[in-house]
Amino acid sequence: MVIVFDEKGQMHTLEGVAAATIMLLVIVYAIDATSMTPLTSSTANVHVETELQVLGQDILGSLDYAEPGYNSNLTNDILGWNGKEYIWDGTSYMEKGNASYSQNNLTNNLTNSLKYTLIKQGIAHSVELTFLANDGTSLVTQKMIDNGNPSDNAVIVSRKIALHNSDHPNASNIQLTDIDPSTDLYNIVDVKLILWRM
Amino acid sequence: MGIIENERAQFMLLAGFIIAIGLVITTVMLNNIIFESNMAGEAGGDPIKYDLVNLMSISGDEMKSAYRNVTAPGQNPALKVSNFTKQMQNFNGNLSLIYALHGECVNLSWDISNWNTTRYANFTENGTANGARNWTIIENVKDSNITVNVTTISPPFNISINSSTKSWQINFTAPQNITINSAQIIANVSVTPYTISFMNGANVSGRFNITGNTSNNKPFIRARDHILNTTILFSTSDTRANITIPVSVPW
Repeated sequence: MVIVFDEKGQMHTLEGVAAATIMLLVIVYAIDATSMTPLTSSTANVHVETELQVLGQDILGSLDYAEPGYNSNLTNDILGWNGKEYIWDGTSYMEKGNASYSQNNLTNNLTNSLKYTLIKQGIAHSVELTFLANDGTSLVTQKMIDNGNPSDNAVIVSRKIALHNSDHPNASNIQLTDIDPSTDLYNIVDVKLILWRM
Repeated sequence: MGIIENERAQFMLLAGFIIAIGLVITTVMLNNIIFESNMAGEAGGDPIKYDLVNLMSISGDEMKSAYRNVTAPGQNPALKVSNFTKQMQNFNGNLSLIYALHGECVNLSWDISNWNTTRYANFTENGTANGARNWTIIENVKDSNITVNVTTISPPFNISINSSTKSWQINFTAPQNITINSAQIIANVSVTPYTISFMNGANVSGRFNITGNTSNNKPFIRARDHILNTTILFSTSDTRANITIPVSVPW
């Protein structure tokens, strides 16, 4: 057997490695150059979601503050809600399916806060309320503000609120009922604020 | 002149080139890892903390509400503990259902021994013996009625009412039950608005009730009989918390 001392094979291997490296660099550059939107799934998207979550919690937290002897603004909004659904039409939260009458628009502490925060920043949002049905075991979910289907990257923040008979909840909301007639406890409401970037 | 066919220099150049490119790639990737772990990983908030703060808040509020309901005028004093317990039990059961929606397990328990044994709260900021001794109850008061029932005392203790021009110190040296109305306060501090503070509140225990209006005509109430305790057991698939919080009742 004769061993052939030929360096061409080694050379071709090295050239192949160099070519592969250059191609890898091109791919990395191309990926970096691709535009990243807030909805693009990435670690940056996690950052955006975290910002939305903190913003949502701050909105609900500031509305849920109450000093002794008073209900929080958020509690008052839930107590006064008539159970109807509203949508943002660009200027106000109008009643869904009955937008002709401006007196039907929803105006309360929550909508005022949403106008000055989420609307100004162009953040889409919906508000859902989940509470117990009067059978005491099943849960009912009602939409207060509905701005369409959230994206896959939507964030949900929530706040639980206890309502009492002595707070005189709005009787127009026939689904939000007294789950405990034997005591002052009326119902427990989970207020969910859903936020997403368009 | 003969040409020497030697490819060693070409090999060395190519090897150097590959090593240089490899270093660049390694540096870029390392940089990306550090950047992303700082940006996204550390920025991620812990949503559980919001749930816990909310849970502590509504549990305390419900305890205050139940206490106020059963001690309100017209309620049967003999049934106060059983009615209190009934409301809290119903609240606990329903709250568990709401939290189960989020995959969270919640259970409340409560300790009303201070109420049962008529052990009144200290006049500190949080009502416990080691709370802030000197604290302001309310500022910018236009008119107020103060009722203080001191049951145990180790002087000094005084209520300090301060306006922009005068200061009135109401000193306590022995257990007593006093009521101070708005006219008395104005006579001693001359002008409104004024500030009401407790000084050396850790030296005394009892009950107080202060009602009135602030300088912008907003009614207020500050009152405390007892400090009750509620224990919150909160658990998720990866978090477990057992928190006991003091709750000032009725407000």
